[in-house]
Amino acid sequence: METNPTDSKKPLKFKWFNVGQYTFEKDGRYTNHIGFDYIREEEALTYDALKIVNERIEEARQKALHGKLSPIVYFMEKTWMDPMTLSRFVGRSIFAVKRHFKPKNFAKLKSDMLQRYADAFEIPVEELKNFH
Amino acid sequence: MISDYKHNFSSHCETGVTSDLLRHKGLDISEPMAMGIGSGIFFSYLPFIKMQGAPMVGFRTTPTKIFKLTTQRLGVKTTVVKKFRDQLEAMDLLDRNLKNGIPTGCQVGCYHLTYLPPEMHVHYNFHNVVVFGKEDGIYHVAEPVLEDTQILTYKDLLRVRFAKGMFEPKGKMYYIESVTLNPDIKKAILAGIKTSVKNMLKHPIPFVGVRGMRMLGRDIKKWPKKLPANQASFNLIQLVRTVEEFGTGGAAFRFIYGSFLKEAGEKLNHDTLLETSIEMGETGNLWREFSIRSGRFVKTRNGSQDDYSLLADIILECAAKEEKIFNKLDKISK
Repeated sequence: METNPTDSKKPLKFKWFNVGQYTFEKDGRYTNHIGFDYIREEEALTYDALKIVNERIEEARQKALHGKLSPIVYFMEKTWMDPMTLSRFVGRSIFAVKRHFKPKNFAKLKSDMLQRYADAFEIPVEELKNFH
Repeated sequence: MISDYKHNFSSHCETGVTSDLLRHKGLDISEPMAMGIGSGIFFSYLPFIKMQGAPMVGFRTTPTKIFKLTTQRLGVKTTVVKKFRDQLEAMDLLDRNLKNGIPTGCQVGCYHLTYLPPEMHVHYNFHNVVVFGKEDGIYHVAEPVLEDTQILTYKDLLRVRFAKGMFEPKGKMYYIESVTLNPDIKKAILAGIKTSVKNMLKHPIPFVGVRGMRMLGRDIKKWPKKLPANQASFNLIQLVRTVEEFGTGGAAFRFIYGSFLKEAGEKLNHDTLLETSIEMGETGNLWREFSIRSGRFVKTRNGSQDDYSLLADIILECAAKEEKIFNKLDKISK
């Protein structure tokens, strides 16, 4: 994917668009202007959120490589999903999706279901089957 | 064909769309006014819905509710198409509207919106944009939270209108048919306030409104014991981002709503409204203090004096203040 927000090769560069902000002044006026108020722009918390999400992705990748979790978890974190969103994408219940997180159950998946997961993550099926 | 739609920069997607569509038809309704008449102020804490592991805290009502209520109360005739079974039918109806020069609002998902920066590509399907023109198969889109208008291809627009995930848009679209130019603005404002009071104080569901804020405050105190440190700070980060960064006009709509109260008070010459507008601004400043202190707390874990229970106390204080404000508004809206 071209616009993957969590591409770890590139350094994270914060390109924030300006946000409309209303402010309450001490004399009771409301003003409307563009830009961040509550924090300096380059300090915005999006950086910290990305850092934590990237840590999670790396953890899921290591677990998938060592066979503790299925690759579905890694791709789910990578595409900023959660079990609930993913269950809507593949058309199964949350419990069924969570079952597929175990490598034992993942190995039993039929090609039809694998294709649905691949479509949700926008990757070829081979990448899901032979994860390395 | 591109209609002569004038795009204004706004803080929140739906109030911006509503006010711009009304202005296009010649009815001058500002963004805070749309917020107030459409009863846009809300609070819901949904711990059982997890977005990337963090509990969902919503500061907005369901999509197109603001548009529906505002137009209904101003006596404007509109059409809202809730969902389409067929994707091509949805695009054909949009094309027909654009041919007739009707700017049309659409509910879209954010993940595949190509013009947003990559940090904003999240699975969030409550966004609203106005499509106002088509030229050589390229759609012209007025994005309320960006200053300039943007373009999207047919394929991209189809994809975002039928985005998957939680709360799917299913191609929802809405447009204005005709307006009455001199609406009864006093009645509309009071009706808007009445619904807001009901949402904030008397909602039957316990995690909505002021009661929901108290529940959130109580839960934040439990986070450091219950959750691993990483998850607890991620929850706090997502909460602060919802309050300040995701197009809420600052401090979770409190500043826009206060601005509405001030505008309404000046229009109707009403003292209580002007008084509550100042109180609402002070509450907004309190929310902002919460964001600033949480931001510092997350960044410098050891250098800051705060902890989760101190931050939760700010939210509980906000709840107490807002309860007072809406009790005052309850008396005048009867």
